[in-house]
Amino acid sequence: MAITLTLLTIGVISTLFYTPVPEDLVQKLEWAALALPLALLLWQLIELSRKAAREKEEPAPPAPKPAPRAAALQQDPRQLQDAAVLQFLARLQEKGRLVDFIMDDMTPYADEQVGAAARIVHQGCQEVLSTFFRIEPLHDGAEEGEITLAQGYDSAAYRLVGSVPEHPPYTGILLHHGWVTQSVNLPQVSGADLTDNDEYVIAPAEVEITSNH
Amino acid sequence: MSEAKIKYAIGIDLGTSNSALAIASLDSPETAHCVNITQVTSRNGIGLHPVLPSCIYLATEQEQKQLPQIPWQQDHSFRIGMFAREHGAEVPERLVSSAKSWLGNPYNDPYQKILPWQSPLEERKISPLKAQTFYLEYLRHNLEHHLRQEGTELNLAECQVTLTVPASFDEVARLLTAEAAQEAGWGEVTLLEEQQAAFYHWLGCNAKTWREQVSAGDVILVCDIGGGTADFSLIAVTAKNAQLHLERISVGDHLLLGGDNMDLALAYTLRAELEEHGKELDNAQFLALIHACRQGKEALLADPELQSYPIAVAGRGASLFARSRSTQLLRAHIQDIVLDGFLPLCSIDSMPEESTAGLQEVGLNYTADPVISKHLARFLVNSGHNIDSGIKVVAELQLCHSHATQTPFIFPSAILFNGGIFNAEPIRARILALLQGFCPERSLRQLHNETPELAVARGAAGYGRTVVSGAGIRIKAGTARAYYLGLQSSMPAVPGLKPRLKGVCIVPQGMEEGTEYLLEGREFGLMTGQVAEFRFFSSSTRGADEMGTEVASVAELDETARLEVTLEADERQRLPVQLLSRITELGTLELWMKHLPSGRRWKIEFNLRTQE
Repeated sequence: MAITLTLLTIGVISTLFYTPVPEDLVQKLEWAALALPLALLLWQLIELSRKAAREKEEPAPPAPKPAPRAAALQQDPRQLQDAAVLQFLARLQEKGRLVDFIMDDMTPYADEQVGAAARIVHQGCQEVLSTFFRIEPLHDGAEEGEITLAQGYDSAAYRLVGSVPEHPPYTGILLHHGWVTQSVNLPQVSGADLTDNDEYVIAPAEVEITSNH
Repeated sequence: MSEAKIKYAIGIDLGTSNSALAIASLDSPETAHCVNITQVTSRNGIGLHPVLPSCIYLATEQEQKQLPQIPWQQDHSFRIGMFAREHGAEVPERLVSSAKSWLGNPYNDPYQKILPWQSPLEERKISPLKAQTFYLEYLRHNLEHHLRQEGTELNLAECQVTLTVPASFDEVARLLTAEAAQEAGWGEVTLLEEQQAAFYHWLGCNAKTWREQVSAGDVILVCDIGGGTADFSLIAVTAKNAQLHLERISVGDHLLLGGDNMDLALAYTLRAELEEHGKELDNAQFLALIHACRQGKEALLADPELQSYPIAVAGRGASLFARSRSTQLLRAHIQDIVLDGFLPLCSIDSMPEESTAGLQEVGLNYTADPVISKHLARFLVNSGHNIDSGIKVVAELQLCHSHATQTPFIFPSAILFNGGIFNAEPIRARILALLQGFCPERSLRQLHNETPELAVARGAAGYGRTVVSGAGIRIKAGTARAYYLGLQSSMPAVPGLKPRLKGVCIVPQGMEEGTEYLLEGREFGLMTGQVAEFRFFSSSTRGADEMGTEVASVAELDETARLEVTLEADERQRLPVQLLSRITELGTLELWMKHLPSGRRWKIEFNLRTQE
């Protein structure tokens, strides 16, 4: 309908402009040139209101699927970073019960009980670290041994303490051999743990379901 | 298939507990490398791992939306891999595992939706074959995904795909595996025995030196013990015209017995000790205990100085201090249970005990006797019997004889270990000592396998390269078993006595890829348009039988499946047909009924529906 009206309008206007038209017809054509766009406008308005009415009656057609949270996260580097750290923490808790260990009050317990708990944490967290990283000592030499750092040493890899002159070479005692990781193999983040109200799930509550069948 | 140039050789290890995929470029001489597998690793993460646990977790409605989603997976109702295995262990009714073992089970219909086994979620269950298809499909998508990230599109017409199956799989299980691969979009795949694949991997790693490491007359035992299965194969080295040849001469039974059984046995022992002190463990704690026992076992086996490995199992609640249970895994446990329990030194005459329970509960056919040593002894004796009875005796091969009973058996001169448990030196040493004890006069050495976990996939890819290029040595193998048709003996009818069923050999052992045999001198008069049924048997210890050899009673054979054929024809008549057996180039068995005068033939199908 809208297309027919538009075509008619174009026809009328071009006739008016480009063809010699008898005097008595000019007025009628001018009227038509005005009336047709008006009709078009009216038609469109009716269509719009009909559509609005339809939407009120029926439930909206299935809304476009909300973008998966992971995709949304990619637009916000800050949130992405939070999610990555959170996931790492979740894994340490899941495998090594780290959050349980830290959040519990350990004062009432004997060393034996603390020791047993520490083993769980140690074993589980070690498993997580060895899955995600390949950790090795940064410096091969023995601790308490002598070490010399030449010109151009990596000041990010060696932290100097004590009485430090302005220029290398430096000679000193290795206090701590440091750690490096040869690789980082963190899992991809899925946004599933970010709830809408900015609450982060570190460990889900566990529920055992029995005889539901 | 079009004549596209083959660029890649792909090897797939579809394992009972873990699967892996390796790829080798035909343009480069490098050995195949494993493709890391993207998978859901936890409730909120997706990670890369070299292997894919062969487990499917059937997610709940809400989980389907919230668990991480794999980019290529359209159907979100399940998750495959690490998360499935870990989380599923606590929700067994939603965990599909060990699907492969169900394929090799003759009493089960592989198309029937039975997994998760004994789960009440009837409408969610899938068939063992479907599960295998899911894993294979997953591996294909993963490969596509990773190649695409490297800027390559996977074109299967350019790939030689080799899929491994246990040497002990019968022809029916092999056929089913090939069918699953087809269904999963891999097209036609070449089948290769896993134990041979491991050996091909060793050959590939020692391409320059293997001829110096073995010599004519050597027999190599491939000792493959996985998480839940054990398989043995023997490969003989022979010389012809100053060239070394390899032949796979014997294959053992598929044993549902492996490293996981050891962890389980340790965990049962520690649980019993805890219970004696009044400390009860719930199911999840027991799972954690099994996991800890595995770590403890590995630590104690790796370090001979270590006397005990402390184990602590957390309670379910958040309080770690109040509810943890602690115990110790001792060196004595490893010695008594792992070494002396599963791998004791025994004589070659020790035979495994068969299940004594008259009626076994329907389910997986778990091996009744957990003593791996005895199964190994039986395998070597059966191999001796198989070779001894055969006319295909390799000239250089000399049988050993038991001191006590003079039973002949094959004594391997070298051993190739495959499977994760052989990372532990004491386990390798124990098996070497056990074998040496069978025959102290002869020497035995170990062939070095660098990656006992990934050797099968990599070896399969290496084999694929050999197939395409034609260069490099091939192991002569052929069918591991011989197959028989069950036919009624013609005898005068006696009331109350069923005519005895005899077996007629239709596939001799060692029948090679690309060959076909006609069963001469035996015609079947079959009515057209009517289903004709036959019983089908196999044996792994009758190396001498040839096409047409009769076995007096099928009692000494293993029933494998039923065969059925319908001669579709325009008019109803009785046609004289003969049986033709054929091993395709891809390593699958085909049986046909052939009408010689017209040359027409009809394929015989395997009927795998459960027989009541």
